[in-house]
Amino acid sequence: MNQPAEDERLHAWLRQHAPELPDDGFALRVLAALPPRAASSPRVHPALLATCGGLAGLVFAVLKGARWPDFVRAVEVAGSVWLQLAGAVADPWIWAAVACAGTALLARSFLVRWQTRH
Amino acid sequence: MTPTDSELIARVRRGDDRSAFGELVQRHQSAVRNFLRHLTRGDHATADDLAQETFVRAYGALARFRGGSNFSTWLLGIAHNVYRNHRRRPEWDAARWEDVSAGTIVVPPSTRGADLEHDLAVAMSQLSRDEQLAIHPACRQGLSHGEIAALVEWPLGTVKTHLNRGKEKLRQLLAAWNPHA
Repeated sequence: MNQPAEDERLHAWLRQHAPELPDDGFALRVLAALPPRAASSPRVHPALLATCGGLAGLVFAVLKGARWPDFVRAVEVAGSVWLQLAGAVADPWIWAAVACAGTALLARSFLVRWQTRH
Repeated sequence: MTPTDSELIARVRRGDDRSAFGELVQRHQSAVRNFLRHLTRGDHATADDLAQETFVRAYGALARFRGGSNFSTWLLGIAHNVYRNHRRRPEWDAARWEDVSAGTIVVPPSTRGADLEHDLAVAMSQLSRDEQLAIHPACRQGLSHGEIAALVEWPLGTVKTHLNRGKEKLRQLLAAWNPHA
């Protein structure tokens, strides 16, 4: 018996006799079962948003009568706050908290991928 | 001109174009439903429910479809996972889906003299679930051994074993249609 020819005949039979199922509204049922559309929100570039916010703050400050020395003082205050923050970050507990949060985010990301796959 | 699958997928990704997704469903529903009908041993209602779940999942995961494989192969992979999850549910009636005992091939008398399509359907139903799982995508969808291995998450050797066993059974069951047998 010629096995490759037999195989070919079997494949051809199975291909030819695979019934093509009519849609019969199946696609519509699928579309109706899809999750609702996500509310579309206009995407604004973060840099543009930050620049506009900064400019608005500047205009507000000038309108309120702020002068250059006031800005210098504000920068100094911001600098001291930054230094305090930097000191806090040196605390090992802060790093532990950051590591925990990072691990949780990674775990969530893997979980989403796994759920998609399974 | 009819858009390709890739173009439709791009439209769905870009703007949540549901009509494009509907077109994809219409194109692939027959293959997915047929595949699931085989897996569920002809339970059309369950197969269609699982097919619907397959497409809903595919819609959610479309952003992660990399195009490394054929879209229909990717869909069949999701369908297989949906079917496996369904089998794990408590309401699953395992006894109903037991494999046909290995090595015992019974040709129902009613198939003798019937048309080839009917005989093929009966012969396919005589195969074990794993043999059907290998034969169906290979012969009806034209998937390669490697693609089937990735689809059902079996080693390549297991795919080949089930394919060969399944084909051998089919040859025996359909011997009446072979004038040289």
